[in-house]
Amino acid sequence: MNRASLPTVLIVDDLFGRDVRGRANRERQNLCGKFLLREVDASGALRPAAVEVREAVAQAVFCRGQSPIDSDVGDMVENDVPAVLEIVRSGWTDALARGRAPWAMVLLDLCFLTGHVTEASHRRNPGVPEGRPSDEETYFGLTLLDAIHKEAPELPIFILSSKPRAQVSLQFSRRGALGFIDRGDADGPEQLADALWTHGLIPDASGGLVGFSLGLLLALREGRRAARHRENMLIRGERGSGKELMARFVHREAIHRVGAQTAEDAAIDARPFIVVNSAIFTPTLFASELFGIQARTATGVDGKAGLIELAATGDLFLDEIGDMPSEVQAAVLRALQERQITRVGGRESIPVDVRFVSATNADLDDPAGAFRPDLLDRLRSGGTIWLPPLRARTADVAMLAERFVREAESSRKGIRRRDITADALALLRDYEWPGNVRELRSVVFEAITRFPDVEHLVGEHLTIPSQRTTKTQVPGAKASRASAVNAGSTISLAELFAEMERVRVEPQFVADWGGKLSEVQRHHAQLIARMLRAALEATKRRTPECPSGQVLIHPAAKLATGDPSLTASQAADLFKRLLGPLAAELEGDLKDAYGTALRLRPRSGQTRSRQ
Amino acid sequence: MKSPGGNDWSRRKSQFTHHWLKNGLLSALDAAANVMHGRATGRGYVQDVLDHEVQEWPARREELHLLLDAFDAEMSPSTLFDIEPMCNWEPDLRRVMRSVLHEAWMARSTMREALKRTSAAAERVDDAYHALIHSTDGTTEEASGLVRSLDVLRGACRDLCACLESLPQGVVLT
Repeated sequence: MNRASLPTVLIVDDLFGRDVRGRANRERQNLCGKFLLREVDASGALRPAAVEVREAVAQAVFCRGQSPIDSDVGDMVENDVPAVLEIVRSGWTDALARGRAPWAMVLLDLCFLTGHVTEASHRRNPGVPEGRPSDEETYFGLTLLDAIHKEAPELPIFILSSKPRAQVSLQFSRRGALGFIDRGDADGPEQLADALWTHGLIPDASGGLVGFSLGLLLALREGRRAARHRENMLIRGERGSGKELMARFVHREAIHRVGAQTAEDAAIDARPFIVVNSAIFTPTLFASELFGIQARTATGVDGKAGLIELAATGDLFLDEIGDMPSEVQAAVLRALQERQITRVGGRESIPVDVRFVSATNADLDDPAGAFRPDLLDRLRSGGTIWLPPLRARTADVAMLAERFVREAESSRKGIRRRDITADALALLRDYEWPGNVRELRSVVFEAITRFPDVEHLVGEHLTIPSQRTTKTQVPGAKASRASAVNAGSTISLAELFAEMERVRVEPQFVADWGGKLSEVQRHHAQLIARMLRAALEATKRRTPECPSGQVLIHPAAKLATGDPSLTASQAADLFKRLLGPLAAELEGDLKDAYGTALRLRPRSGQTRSRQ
Repeated sequence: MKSPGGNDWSRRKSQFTHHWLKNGLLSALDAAANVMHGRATGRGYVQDVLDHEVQEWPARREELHLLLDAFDAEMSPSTLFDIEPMCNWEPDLRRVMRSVLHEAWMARSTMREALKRTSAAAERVDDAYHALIHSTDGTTEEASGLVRSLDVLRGACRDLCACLESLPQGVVLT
């Protein structure tokens, strides 16, 4: 893994945040040498090191969770939560907003020694204070864990400590840490690599799925987790969002696990990846393509292996499974249940070892739909990966556009190399991209084909219908206080919710429509409920202990409203307000979310306006 | 002044085990091992570890001996007679009961075995330390011998960590 693609971890400790001064930085260097880390500063520049790591597990930014950062004899050292949060934000909120790779993980020490740096304590460890009894009784690392988890619930946090794990295992689990690495263990690098693989937010180093947005990184993490097993996976996402790329990522990542370079990997490398587009076959053709044809001497029919057989030991990617004919669904279900197939026209059962990776942009859960629920359950037995639409990855648009421009330039001779101007980028960012990344690629390629001899890609080169460049407008809405502010540009979901609640209907209108208004309001409430359910699903915290995911209303509300500054109380109020009309019939995640909101904000009338 | 209930002993044990043995020596030894095994490079790094972190052992060994010697006096439940409410007992009764409690604890406690194991583990670290120093006499170029000695010392240090962590954090009556 080259340095640019190495995941970056933030290590918060009481020892290692000091500047290099004599041997004062010694423990930091030893830690890097032990865990095979490359130390970088906050800008990503490599710092001088006593040990040059050959195959690094990650690059590390160190942060002393105390002030002063560089202490000497006579100094008073105190813990410093705000300073740590500032660094966390710089590599999290700020990085995500600016389209940079965020922290892959935060590693927290537990015990932070405070108090005076004395001659004796300085001799033992330069710059380190004597410590107070309370340092060992109430670990500051757990306080930091609370603060960081509250600030950034999706940021993966591990404990990295020399203290016995059993002493704090319950406390760190309850506070949201995902695991514990003992600094004394001999296999530290392997443990860290494993933790990063399973829990880290790491971009696709192969460049297949481009971007650093949180939704994409969470999907990639699910993909890595899927690569560890051979259970069937379902990939959900809108058209053009990269479902096949994700399937290939899952297939490929099985052999690229951090630090895994064994003979077994080579065997995995040879596993086939077969693509089947369910939409292009007739039922008869689909069956023969999937299951193969039995040779018949009497009729002169040549036999041939089906795609399932060809994918043996590897992955079969079934794209657009929503289009699979019902006859074929039954046959695929049998193959999945019995792990064997029968060729068309044959009788012999052939055992198969294939993982099915399926993809769809349809909601197959609809019980009235044509897709068999028992087959769906089998196809997603190993989990579901949700790919976000491009409109939810605005920060990735610039990087994707740059990638497609270079791709287009290199694919054709005589085309000038160009930059992308700010106005072109603004147009690209502002468009909703119903066709997602595939549509963006087409728009960029078309622009370069039409204007091969220019040094700048400007807005005029892009074929984006102007009436479609504005996000989520409310047709016919009268300009109000909120929409007037955003006239001609965009309206956030938070504002949209507020607008919907402000609607006042004339009595004559109600009379004219003969009581239909309550039905409209009901559908409106259901629409919002579906939106909130999607946000809850996308922001669920999935852990080995809770693979179906824990419902989190705060991040879901932030996602649904597009308002990152929304507080937990405001999120609870939002859920109460929007789900209240449907309270009696709520089920599943929505019911859980509504219950949580009521617990958090039991009384009404506490809603605080953000305007 | 020693704090009651074994807090001071626990703090000193924590300073030795976590702040020096694990975070200091073991981290350095593991990093040096990565260099020796070719996972990292560092000009003069291994020698530097031998000259600094490893060379601290003789002084730290003495610190550890003092710590283990103080275990009975500071971690025996008889120390409970120094604090409320038992410090208010009548002096003669207190003296007798202190002695009885200490003897009973000594007879029943599994700590005796744990202390013996810890002392033995410290001896093994000492042996490994001397073997390592001996293996580097004259030259550090004898890589295979050095790697072996380094690995033995790492293993011995880990055993010592485990023994120290098995000792109680505070005064216990069992």
